Amino acid sequence: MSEPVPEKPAPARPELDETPPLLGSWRNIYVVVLGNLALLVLIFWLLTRAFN
Amino acid sequence: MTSIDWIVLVGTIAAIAAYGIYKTRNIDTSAGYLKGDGELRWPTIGLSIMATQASAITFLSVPGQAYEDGMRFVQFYFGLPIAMVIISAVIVPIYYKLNVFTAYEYLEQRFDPKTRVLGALLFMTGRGLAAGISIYAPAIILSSLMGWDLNATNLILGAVVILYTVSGGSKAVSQTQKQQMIVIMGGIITAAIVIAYRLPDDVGVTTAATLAGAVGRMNVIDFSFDPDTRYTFWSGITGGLFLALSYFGTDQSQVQRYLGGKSITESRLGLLFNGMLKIPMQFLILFIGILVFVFFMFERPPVFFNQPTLDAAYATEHAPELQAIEARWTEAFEARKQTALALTAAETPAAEAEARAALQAAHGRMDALRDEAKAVIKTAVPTAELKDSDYIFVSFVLKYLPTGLVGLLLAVILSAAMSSTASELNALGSTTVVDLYKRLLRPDADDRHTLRASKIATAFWGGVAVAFATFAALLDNLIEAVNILGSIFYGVILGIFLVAFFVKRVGGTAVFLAAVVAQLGVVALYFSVDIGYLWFNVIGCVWVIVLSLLIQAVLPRARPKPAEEA
Repeated sequence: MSEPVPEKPAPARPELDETPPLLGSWRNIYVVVLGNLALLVLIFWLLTRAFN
Repeated sequence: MTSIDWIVLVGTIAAIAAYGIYKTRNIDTSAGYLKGDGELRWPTIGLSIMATQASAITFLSVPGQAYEDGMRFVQFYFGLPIAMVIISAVIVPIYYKLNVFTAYEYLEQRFDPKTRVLGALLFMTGRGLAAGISIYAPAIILSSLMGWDLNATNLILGAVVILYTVSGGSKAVSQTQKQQMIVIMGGIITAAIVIAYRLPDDVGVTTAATLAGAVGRMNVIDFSFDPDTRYTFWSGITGGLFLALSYFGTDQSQVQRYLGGKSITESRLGLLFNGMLKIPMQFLILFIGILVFVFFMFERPPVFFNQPTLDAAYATEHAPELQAIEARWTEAFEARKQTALALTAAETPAAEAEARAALQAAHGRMDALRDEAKAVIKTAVPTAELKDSDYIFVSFVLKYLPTGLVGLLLAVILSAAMSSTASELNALGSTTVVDLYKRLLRPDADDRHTLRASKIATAFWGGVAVAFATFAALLDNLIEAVNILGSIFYGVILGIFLVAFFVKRVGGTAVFLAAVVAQLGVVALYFSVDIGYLWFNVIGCVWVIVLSLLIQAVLPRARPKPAEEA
C-alpha cells in the first residue's frame, strides 16, 4: 500500500482545561467515583455474608 | 400478547425513532452527522454510553444467568469505574486535543497512515459481524416464543435502526439512546417492583434474598483466588478493567459517543456517570433474576424454559419419558415449596438451619430432574440447544406480567437491541468514510460529498447487518463464532492503542509490524491450541506490546509525531 500524503491535523478544540462544575477538581471527582466502587464492594460483601 | 401490549410496544419504538429523526432533521454538515456538532451534554453522553453497551442480550441473558448461577456476574463490572477514570484522565484529553472524528485517526497522528488503516480494518471486521448478531440474537428468541417470522423480525428491527441512524447520524443515535435508556431503566424498575409484588404475601425482598441465598444465589462477591472460578473480585477488577479500557477507550462505537460532547467536561462527566451507575444497574437486572427464581419457588416452573424446543421433543417418541419426568418434577417442586415455606416460618437458628438444609436437598432434586429432562430432549432433538437460560426472563414476562407491562418489557428488549446496533452502524459508517474513503480515495471531498458518503456507508453497514442476521439462522453456533472472531482481533487493537498511549518510544513501523505478526500469531494459535477464546484478547495485546518494543530496538529511533506531545 502506498502511503498517502499525511493529513494536516485538525485544529485543537479550545476547551481542554475546564474545571469540573462541582467538587473543585477532577481529582476529587475521580476519588468520588472510586469511593463509590469501594462502597458498592463493601455493600456486596455485607449482602453475601448476610444471605449466602 | 394483547392489543394493549402491541400499542405500547409499537408506540414506544415508533415514537423513539420518530423523535430521533425529528430532532436531527437539520443536520447538514459532516461534522454534525459524525460528531453531533459537538453539542451533547453529559446526561445524554452518559445514557448513550450505557445504551450502547446494553444490548438486548443483556436483558434476555442476565436475569436468566442470576436464576441459574446467582449474583456473582456483577463482579465482571468492577474494573469499569476504574477504566472510566483512566479514560477520562488520559485518553479523552488526547482525543480532544487532536480533535479527531474516530479513534483510528489518532493512530495516524501518533504513528502513521498504515497503522491507522490497520486499526480501522480490524475494528470493522469484528464490529461489522457483531452488528448482525445484535439484531439476530434477540430476534431468534422473540420470534420463537412469540411465533413471529424470524426474517421479518430481523428486517423490521434492522430497518427502523437504519432509518434513524442514516437520517440523523451520531446525534440521532445519542438522542434516541437517551429515550431508549429512559424506557429501559423505567421498564426494569417497574418489572422489579411488579415481580416483588407477585411474591407470596409473607415473602418480602429480604425473605426472597434469604431463600435465594439458601441455595447459593446471593453469591454477590467472592474474594477467592481460585483460577477455575470465572467471576471473582480479582478477575473483575483486573480482567474487567482490561476489557473496559479496550471497549470504551478504543472501540469507535463507544468513542464516538463521548467525542460528541459539548466540551471535555461534558465528555468526562458522561463517562464517569457510566462509572457510577453501571454496577448498580447490572445489580438490579441480576436481582430481577433472583426475584424470578424465588417466584418459581412458589409457582411451578417449566422443566425446560425454551418451550418451542420442549414442544419439539414432545412431538417425538420420547414424549412418555418427558411426561414421567414432568410428573416427578411437579412432586419435587411441591416438596421444595414446603421447605421454602418452612424456612420463611423458622423462628430459631436451629429450625432455620434445618429448613435451609432441607431446601438445599429439595432444590438439588429439582436440578437433577432438569438435567434428566435435558438429556431426554437432546436424545429426542439432537440439534436442540440445551442452554435455556436466555428464555427464562422473557418466558416469565409473557406468562406472568400484566397487560401493558408485557409490551413495555418487550420494548425494553427491542430498545436495547436498537441502541447497540445504532451505535455500531454509526461507528462503522464513520470509520469507513473518515479512515478509508476520505483518507485514501477522496481526500479532497467537500463537506456535502462527505456527508452523503457517510449516509451511504451507514446504510451499507445496516444492509450488511440485516443480511448477516438473516444468514445467521442458517448456521449453528454463529454467535459463539462471532465472539471468537472478536476476541481474535480486539486484543491486537488494544495492544496498538496501549503502545500509542503509554510507550512513547515506539514508532509506527514497529507497532505496525508487531500488530501484523501478533495478529497472524493469534490466528495460528486459534487453529493449533485449545484454549478459552477470551485469552486471545490478552495474548494479542501482550504480543503487540512486547513485539513492538523488540522491533523498535533494532529499528532507527522513531521521529516524534505531534500526537506524542499530547
